[in-house]
Amino acid sequence: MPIPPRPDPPVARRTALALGLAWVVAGLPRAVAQDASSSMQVTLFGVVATPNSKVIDPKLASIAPQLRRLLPDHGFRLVDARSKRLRPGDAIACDLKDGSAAEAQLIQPAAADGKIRLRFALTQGGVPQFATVVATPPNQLFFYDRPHPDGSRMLIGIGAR
Amino acid sequence: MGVAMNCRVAAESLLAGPHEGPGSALADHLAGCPACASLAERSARLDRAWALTRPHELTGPALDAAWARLDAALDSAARRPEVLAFPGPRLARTMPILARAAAVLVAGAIGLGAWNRSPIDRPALAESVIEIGVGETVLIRQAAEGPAAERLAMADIPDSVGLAVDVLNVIETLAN
Repeated sequence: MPIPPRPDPPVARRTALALGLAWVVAGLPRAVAQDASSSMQVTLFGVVATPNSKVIDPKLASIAPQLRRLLPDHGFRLVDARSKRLRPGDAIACDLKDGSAAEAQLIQPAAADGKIRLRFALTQGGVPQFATVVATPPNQLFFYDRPHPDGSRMLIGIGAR
Repeated sequence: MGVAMNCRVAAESLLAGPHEGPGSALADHLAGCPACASLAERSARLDRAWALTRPHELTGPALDAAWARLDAALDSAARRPEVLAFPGPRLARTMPILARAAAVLVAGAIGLGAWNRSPIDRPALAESVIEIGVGETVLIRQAAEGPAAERLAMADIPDSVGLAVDVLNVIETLAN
């Protein structure tokens, strides 16, 4: 006995399927774009700057001229560096190897003024020492300068794009 | 023999709580060290803020009053067992005891929480907002009155935007 052909789905069902597929196809790129625009690549790093020194950490050799323009007559050693794509509320942290830690939290990716809002915090042994919110244009760096008793300085750099 | 005073010892002393008065090794150190003096000032401000905002402690009279109200409520309940409609006489006898035990546990938990409060468990530092303009390179420092932003002039750092992009490119590579 021949098998009867499968009947076509009802028109209403086909229409619903087509609309659903169109919604998924049309909405997906927008969702991906929104996800990309609501996250930022945030970079946080700590550098020890030693006065009257010409010693440059090999890892920093390629940006030594830039660092020397920021702090002339200093040697530089990279302590820690972190870079991650963050969504609002996410944070990255650097261990500064002296019992202190720096944290950068993305608050707002891009406001109407085009600036990214980040919260920077410094802790010593887990105890908050300093915290501030910074509104910065993308592709720029700002630094927290922390002097050490021995005359060296901990430069903590933060940037986002 | 006392511990030699330096910035680290001074910071630990300041964060541990109230310290000795004038003439102490710490006071001598603070007189000659602006950074530690700044930390001492901020620590004192935090102590004042904490003193103004900390929750009320459960004092002896307040605790006595709470117990009196609890006893009165329990006595009232014991006089009217038919209203409470406990399922059996044994449970009716044990409920006030359980209620007292629960009250003791709650009071104990409150007391333990207050006793365990570390001297460095203080409110978060007040935060300011630092605005950075396009092309500015900003160096943030902790001043006595709060975060201070030193804006390095564009002329001091030529092509500061290019500098930042170069540094970001390299650091991102090092971090990943």
